[in-house]
Amino acid sequence: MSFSVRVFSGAVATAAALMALSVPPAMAQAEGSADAMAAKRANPHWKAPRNAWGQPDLEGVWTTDDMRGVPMSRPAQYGTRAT
Amino acid sequence: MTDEEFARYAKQRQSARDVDDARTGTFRNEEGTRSFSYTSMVIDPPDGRVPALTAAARSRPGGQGSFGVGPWEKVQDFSLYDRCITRGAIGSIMPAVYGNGARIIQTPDTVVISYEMVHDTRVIPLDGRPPIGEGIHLFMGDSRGHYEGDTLVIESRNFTDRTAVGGARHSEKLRMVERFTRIDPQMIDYEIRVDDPETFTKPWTMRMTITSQPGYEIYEYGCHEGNNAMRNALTAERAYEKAAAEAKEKGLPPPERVFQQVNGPDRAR
Repeated sequence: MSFSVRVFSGAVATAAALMALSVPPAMAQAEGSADAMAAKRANPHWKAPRNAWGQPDLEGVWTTDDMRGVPMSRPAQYGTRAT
Repeated sequence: MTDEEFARYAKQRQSARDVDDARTGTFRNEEGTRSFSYTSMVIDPPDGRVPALTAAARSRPGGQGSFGVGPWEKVQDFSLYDRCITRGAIGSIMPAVYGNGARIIQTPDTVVISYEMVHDTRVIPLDGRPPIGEGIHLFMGDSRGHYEGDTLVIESRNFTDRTAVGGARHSEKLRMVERFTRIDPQMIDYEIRVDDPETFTKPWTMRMTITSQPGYEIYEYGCHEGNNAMRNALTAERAYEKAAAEAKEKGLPPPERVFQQVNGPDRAR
């Protein structure tokens, strides 16, 4: 199974990306903090879960496999475009 | 990315997945399932590039892995990763050809992050206790965590100068702030602020989105130093020393280093 997460610097998602995801696609401006990014990317109808102690629930097995194609430093062709 | 750029990138990623998923041996299913249009991990400074190194950092020797050219006097001449010891706090989460998993466990007063590669595990107090003494330095640093709204914030210091970040060996002055924000059921935005004035000319920030993968499991990590290359390299170095000594007795120049012939100086690392 694979699908694409089109991360826009604007606010438009492709219909293909929408259909391909089991959850709404991430949309973001890469500038700013993770909080700002998350606010822009998150599904407005989705609320971050809390665990039994009221903390943001981050527990689980996660991977950076989806980042394998992302270089550390930006190729010159993209200039100041983060996405 | 423009639509064309993203289409090209997504096609490349899919090709990589197709190859990876078709493997019959190791490194199967390690290419993920999603394509993000991030043009770089670095998001600050705005040019998306790791800032320039300081003069001190440029003169700092880097660790050599078993693909390096030596000389190999002792096991400590090999990198910590080659020696199965650590990839460092940042290196542990950097995507590699395999073993990119990380398990996060939360308790009321602690967060635990256990990395698949090397199985390094960070136990991070949330109780506001003071940092350890300045004279103590740890490969993974000393971390303290707290929550800010939906974000877990981890501040770390007391690193050694023996691991790397952004392609450079950092100093003991490294300070790191990580921010974990879950943005949907399958994704966490992960941001790392790197501040090391003895290594980088200014602080910088990198960003990844860490994700869950269908059916992903963390497997036991088995490691042999340099995939047993360490023994071979040290043995070969002793053989070279013997040959060099014999040449000297005969008034001949030392023989060319085979390491250099095989690996070349460009592969030293």
